[in-house]
Amino acid sequence: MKVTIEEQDGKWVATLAGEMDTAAAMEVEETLHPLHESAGKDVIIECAELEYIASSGLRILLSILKAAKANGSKVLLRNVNEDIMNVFKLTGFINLFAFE
Amino acid sequence: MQHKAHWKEWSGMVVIIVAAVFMELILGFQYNYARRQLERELERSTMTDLLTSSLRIQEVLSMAEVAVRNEVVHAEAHLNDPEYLNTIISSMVSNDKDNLDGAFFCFEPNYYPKKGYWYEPYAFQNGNKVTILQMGSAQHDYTQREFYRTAVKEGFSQWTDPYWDGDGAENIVLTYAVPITENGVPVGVLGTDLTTHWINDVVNNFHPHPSSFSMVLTQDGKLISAPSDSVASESLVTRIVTMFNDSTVERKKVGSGRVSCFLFYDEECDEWGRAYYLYKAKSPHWPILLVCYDKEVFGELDRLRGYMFIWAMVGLAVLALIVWLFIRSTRKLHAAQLEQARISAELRVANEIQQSMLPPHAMHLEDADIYGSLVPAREVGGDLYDYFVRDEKLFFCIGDVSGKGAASAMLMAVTKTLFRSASAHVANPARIMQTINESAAEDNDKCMFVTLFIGVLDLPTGRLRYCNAGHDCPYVLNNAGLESLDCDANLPVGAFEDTVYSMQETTLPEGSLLFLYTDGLTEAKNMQRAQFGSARVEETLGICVAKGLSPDLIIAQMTESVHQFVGEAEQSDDLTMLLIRYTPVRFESTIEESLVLKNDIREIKRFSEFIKEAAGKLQLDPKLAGQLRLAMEEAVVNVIDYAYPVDTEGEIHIDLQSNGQVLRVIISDAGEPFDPTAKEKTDTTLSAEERQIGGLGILLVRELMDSINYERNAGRNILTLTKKIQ
Repeated sequence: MKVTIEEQDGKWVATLAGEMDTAAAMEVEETLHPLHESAGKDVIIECAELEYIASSGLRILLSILKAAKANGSKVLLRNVNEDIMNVFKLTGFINLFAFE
Repeated sequence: MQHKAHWKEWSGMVVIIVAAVFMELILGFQYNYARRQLERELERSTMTDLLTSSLRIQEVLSMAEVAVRNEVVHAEAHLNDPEYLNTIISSMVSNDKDNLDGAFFCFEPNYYPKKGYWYEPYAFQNGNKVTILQMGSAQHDYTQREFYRTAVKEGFSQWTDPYWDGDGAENIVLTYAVPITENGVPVGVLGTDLTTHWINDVVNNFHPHPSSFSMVLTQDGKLISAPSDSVASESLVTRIVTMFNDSTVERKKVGSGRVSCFLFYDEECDEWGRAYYLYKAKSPHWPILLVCYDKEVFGELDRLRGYMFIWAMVGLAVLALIVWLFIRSTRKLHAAQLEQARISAELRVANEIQQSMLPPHAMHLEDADIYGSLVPAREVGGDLYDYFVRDEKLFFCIGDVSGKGAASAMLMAVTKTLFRSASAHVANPARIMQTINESAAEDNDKCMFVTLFIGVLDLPTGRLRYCNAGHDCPYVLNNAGLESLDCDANLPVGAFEDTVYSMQETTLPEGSLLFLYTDGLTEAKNMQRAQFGSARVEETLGICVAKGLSPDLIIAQMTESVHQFVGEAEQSDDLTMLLIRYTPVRFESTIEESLVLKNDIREIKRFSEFIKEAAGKLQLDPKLAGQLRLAMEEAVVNVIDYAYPVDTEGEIHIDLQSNGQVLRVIISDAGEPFDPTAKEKTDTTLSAEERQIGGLGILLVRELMDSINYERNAGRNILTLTKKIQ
């Protein structure tokens, strides 16, 4: 899978593309680490091209959220597809994140 | 309602009061009637008495009159011989010694010049002989006397009123004089003096009442004869005479009207009395009085009334007491009934609650049929059974709390709750039993215990694991016949906190029946106190199986057999039965795919490719394929993470089986025993701060698959996931 992080208008924008299975999640965890130190910046995660996510991926998102909340910033998930949204629903994550 | 009930109760008392009033009215009426009758009777007897007295007085007077008249002619023939005349009066006196006080002649002045101006020879009884004295003198001028004047001047004879004769008789006397004529001219009188003492004897000869007495008055109301002082005091006599003469005293006519009556009050003896009187028919018209006391006339009646009143009151009091006792007992009964009704209502509610705690009587699963029945001996019982399905396992239990009634029912409820909570994440019946026991034995002051059988039937495999804590061993029936399930002797639940329970296991062949019961079945007693016994249970089960009856019918048949056996005898214990028929659906797979992975997370890529390929072969809907992939990945990752110790290499087998309708995924490994189904379900409602990082994998497996089943078999963890794909 492909992951990119860039700073736009004082916000972190992470783009996730492809299938984020358990193995992939382990691989990208390091890449996404900067998001943990968002230093008050809001985080936008672009999911338009995210096709699949396993629980390990969800755990990474949750840890980013926890860190952001601790710094008083927000996390926004963007363009989450229907199947993945269903996973968010099943896990109750839909109540934790903001979606766009 | 309460008020109304009280009124009803006390209506008995009202009836008694009304009865008392009526009785008193009747007694009063009776009394008055009897009194009136007695009064009439008294009046009749009094009249007779008075008439008799009158006649007797008249008889005496008449005899005296006749005696005088008889001598008049004799005397007139011997007027010339005054001495002879003396013999006449002398013999008159001696002939009637009793009443005749004296007899005399009185002549006109100077009729016998020799004898003086006044001549009155008077003969009277003097001791044994008769003495004759000449009484006439200036001091004793008989010509001025009433009897003389009327006799000589008017030729008319009548009795004088009684008077004190100090000259002759020295007595109270009555005088009767008859004129003596010579050639038709009155020349004197022949008279007689009667004493009055006989009058008292005559009128007081007999009276019906002992204290009654009679007296005789003169026509102008002076006392002639009164009884002696011992019979009636002088003052009383005086008062009665005064009343008689007092025209203002109320009096009433009695009988034909000849007798009159007035009432008086005798202060000396504090008694009311009544005086009847009658005027003598013939001259002298003396009134004769008869006095009697009410006490003697009506005394008996008054006493009778008193007795009757007392007895009536006693009777009513006894009646009132009976009514009161009746009311009290009725009220007690009423109160007891209310209490009974209240308890019954509460017990009914308790029974409903208890029944509602039981699972449905029947449950149909693809792989099994379950049917339960609990008939409490009382409103609430100490028996329990329960069952539920979790992760393709049928958890069930049957138990019997020691004792009966409310306390047992409480423990029953507690046990059932403990069973549910203890088996929520544990599939090992011994561990479940242990957990229940630890809670139940804690603070078990009443030393109550529960015999309990817990079974966990793995529905796909028929593997039955069970733990028996002192309960009756269930029966297993199948083609091989009927046998009692082999059970270890474990202590009942609740006895000791540290009891260790053993688990046993067996595999139920297809079509097996598992019959569980409480001792209420085998120990059901008939009128002869004989027990139904296990032989009858086995016999009935055998018949049922031979007939091929369904579980509900088997339970019905067993219940019917027990009822027939017990007959009229009271149900002594709760009767509980639970029947499980195991009929697994065979899974005939048409497509099978297998993959063996190493316990390395990098193997996930191979898994992903495998599952994509398989989804294509199974022609799965992409959405469904995605869900299956996620669920399976999570399950596999779980195994990779936990099954093998760190740095230990191991294999994970993945078998996909499909019959076109259902996809079955079997993930197995040879690692440490690890039951992912035992994990507590993750709470998805917590906030981000509260959410734990872990637990998401198994949550997704449960959410995405239709069922999850874990078995540890032959040293392998076997996790079976199923999902409908059509």
